Amino acid sequence: MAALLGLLGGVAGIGSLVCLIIVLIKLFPAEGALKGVFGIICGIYTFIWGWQNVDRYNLKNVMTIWSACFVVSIIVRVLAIGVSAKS
Amino acid sequence: MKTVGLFTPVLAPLLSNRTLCRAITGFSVVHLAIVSLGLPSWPCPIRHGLGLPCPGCGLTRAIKALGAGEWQQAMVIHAFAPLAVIVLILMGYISIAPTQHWRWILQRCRLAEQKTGLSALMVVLFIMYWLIRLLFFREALYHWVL
Repeated sequence: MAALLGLLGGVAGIGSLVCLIIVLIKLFPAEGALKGVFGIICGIYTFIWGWQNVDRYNLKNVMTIWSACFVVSIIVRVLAIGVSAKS
Repeated sequence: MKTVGLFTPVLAPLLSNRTLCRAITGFSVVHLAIVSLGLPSWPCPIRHGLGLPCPGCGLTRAIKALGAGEWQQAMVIHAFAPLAVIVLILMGYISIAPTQHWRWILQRCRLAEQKTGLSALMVVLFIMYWLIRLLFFREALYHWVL
């Protein structure tokens, strides 16, 4: 169970990272280098910016996958807390 | 690509978008509340994807420590926590401020940034702080952040 949770968490983490990079690639030319760097510092800003500009930059699939990865990683971490508490 | 210099405003364009301010403030407050309860919240994509802390990693814990009055602890975890709190409070106020007041703050903020380049300087310092910790104080960084 722990291995499965670890695998799921890893996949969600890599998925989030890939989506972050894709959104950052759109963010840098659109908003400039400083706000792009701010997007690296504050992932929440990049996430919200992505959803705000979902139609303009055709990011619907990327943002949907990122949101799914976000939800999956939270579920995995909640389950991991449960598993470690049990054992 | 937009051309940027040290005196290009960073904060003012963020504050000009009130919907963005509301979303960031709301998300951050919920995130802080969930983390304070000891529950998992926003996972940093860089940390979870690469196993490497991003420049902002540790800010939540540092802000939590600030909230508990543990200043020293907060500064050890992330020295930029007080700045993050100030920006968050400013964004929170912008979200609910009357339009006239919002425009006044926006104008002042833009002028201050264009004259001093403070925000851009802070972004550069933030990245340098992260690089120094990552290269020279890796163990301490991993201890506090990961």
